[in-house]
Amino acid sequence: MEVSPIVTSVDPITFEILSHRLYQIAKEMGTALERVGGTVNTTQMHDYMASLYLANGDVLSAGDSMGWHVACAGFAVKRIIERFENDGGINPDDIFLLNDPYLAAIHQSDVYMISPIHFKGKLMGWSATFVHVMDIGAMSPGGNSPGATEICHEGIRIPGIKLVDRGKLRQDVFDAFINMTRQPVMVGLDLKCEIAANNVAKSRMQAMFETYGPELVSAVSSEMIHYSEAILRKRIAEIPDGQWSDTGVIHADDTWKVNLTLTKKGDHLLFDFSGSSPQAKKGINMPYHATFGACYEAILCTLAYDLPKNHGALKPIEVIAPEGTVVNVKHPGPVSLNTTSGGATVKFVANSALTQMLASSGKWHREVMALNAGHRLARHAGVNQHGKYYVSTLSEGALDGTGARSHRDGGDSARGLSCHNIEWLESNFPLLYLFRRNTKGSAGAGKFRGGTGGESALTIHDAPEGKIKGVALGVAGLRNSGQGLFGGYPGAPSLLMLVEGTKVEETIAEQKSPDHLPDLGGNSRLLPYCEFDIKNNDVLYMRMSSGGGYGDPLERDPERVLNDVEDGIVSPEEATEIYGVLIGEVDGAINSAATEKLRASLRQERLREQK
Amino acid sequence: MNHPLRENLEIHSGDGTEWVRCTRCQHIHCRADQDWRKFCTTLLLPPTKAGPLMDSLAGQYLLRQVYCPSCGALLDTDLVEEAEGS
Repeated sequence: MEVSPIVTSVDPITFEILSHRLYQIAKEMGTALERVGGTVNTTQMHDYMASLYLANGDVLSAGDSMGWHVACAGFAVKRIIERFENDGGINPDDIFLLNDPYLAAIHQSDVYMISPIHFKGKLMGWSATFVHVMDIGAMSPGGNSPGATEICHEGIRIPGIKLVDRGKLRQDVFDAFINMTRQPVMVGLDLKCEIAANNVAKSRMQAMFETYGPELVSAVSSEMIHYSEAILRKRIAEIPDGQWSDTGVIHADDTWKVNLTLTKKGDHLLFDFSGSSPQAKKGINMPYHATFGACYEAILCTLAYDLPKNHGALKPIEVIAPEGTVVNVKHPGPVSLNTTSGGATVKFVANSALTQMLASSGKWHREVMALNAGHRLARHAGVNQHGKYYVSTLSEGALDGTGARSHRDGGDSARGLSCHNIEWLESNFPLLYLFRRNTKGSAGAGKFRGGTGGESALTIHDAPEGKIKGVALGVAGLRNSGQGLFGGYPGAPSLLMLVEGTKVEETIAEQKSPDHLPDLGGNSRLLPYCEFDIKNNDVLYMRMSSGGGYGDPLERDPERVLNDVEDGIVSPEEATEIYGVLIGEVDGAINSAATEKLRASLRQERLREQK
Repeated sequence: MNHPLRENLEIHSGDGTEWVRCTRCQHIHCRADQDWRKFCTTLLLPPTKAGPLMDSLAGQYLLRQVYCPSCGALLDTDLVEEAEGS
């Protein structure tokens, strides 16, 4: 296919300057969210999105935001245009709020704020943000409601409302919204940081129109989108046509499957989720736009990793998701758990199919990595040591190990979002960490190994009620975590485990380190989707997912295995049994001749007994 | 012209036909339009073969490994439900 990625109507230098400025404006919106926001989701986890759109709602610039939210906010802009262009009007300095998952949001907790950008009275574009608000008035504190069987159990659902009217905050609307949550002050901060970020976007865009003229900015915008689409289509066309598939599984009190077949033909990609399970009476379901957005994000992370993130990267994609399934929920199906369950699973299979496709390309086959099928995590709520009710998040999910690549090991505790500061958490909430560290022996083995995930344990401390509430979410079931690629082994499963009635207080009183769970006694149980209490002397253990390995462990450089043994990532037994590497007990050095012999023997053993 | 299929496997063009071939030992598995896994050696193993922290999967999942039948190169590892694997 012939493409013309070089800018034709704008000189290349001006194009570079203005396109990077559009990227930076989206980035600066994110900085405003972090600085004005007050909750851990926004200020420490960076669970937010900030991006720019054309006047018709097409994505213009996504900054570094999560791709699926960028796509969904584009749907939100279009829904706002449909609702308000003839009803109440879209005026300069308005800001709209939308969190309806059946229209554009992923789940209600992710509250979109949409702002038109006018210049000299003409609508030129839009900005949009979301933050995961700390509460949304659902059944469970924090918004993720394991007990919800329909959308009406999951909190406030707004299909579009004007929150700021021509620059003036509608205090009645603002108060009505925050009044329906358990944390009105913190949710108020969440909303105000979104207003601030949208104001930053408007101010910067208007300055750009003033300096360069709206015609030039519009021309650059069009060229950016054309550029991304043209390059992406060219890259897709270079890959051999074919079909690839995978299935993701969520286990709780039932089993739900997400099936995907990816068909690549010419410069077009079709993601077909036919055959996925019927929608659940559990909030793991995905709205169609979220499934679409997850596929868009998979493209942004692979074939379009270096391209401007905009509507051009959407155009070669088609997504089929049958209505009434876990990937295209219809009313009244619940959704509140979906981002970290159904969403994580859709992202996993989308990336898995793309990875298999890339592996078949002479040009791209080295650009693959083992993928993560999700993790477990929790929210917590109760009365804190200062006597105030609170709701917050345990953001350990940021401590997932990443998957191995075709040419390097995965990163240890190195996922995209970031994790809360323990001292900050302990000073605000009645919790005491026993440990947070890399999990030994958790990484998936391979020619290149996965990254180790983190593990944490905590108990309550100075809780006035002697207990707090937890909410368990994530990809339930044990086939989560990192999955191996092309022979690489899976990482250890991600677990959420409550150990009740331990000796943790006694252990601490005796000035012993409580860093070895078996020594603390108690009765342990894995937590499915549920609410649970953490009482005095209970311990909550969280093991995040670890990266899957890449390729055959018997092909791993023995020196790398030795380094892992020295670092405690791999035990000497695993070095021998999985990697076929023999390390001298006395000198701690690799016995090369014996290693070669052992590896040959292990290969023969594989062939001796077949199913 | 050859092109990669995955680590240790490639699509090899010869005699006007495309074949799936092992890149370590050059063993031809099957035609490119066939499922190469069916021509390989498959073992079902306890999940703890992937490390002791996989013990929580025991009784529910098995580790399924697929090898080149000629040289023993590991081509695929997956977790499968016990019912599916048996």
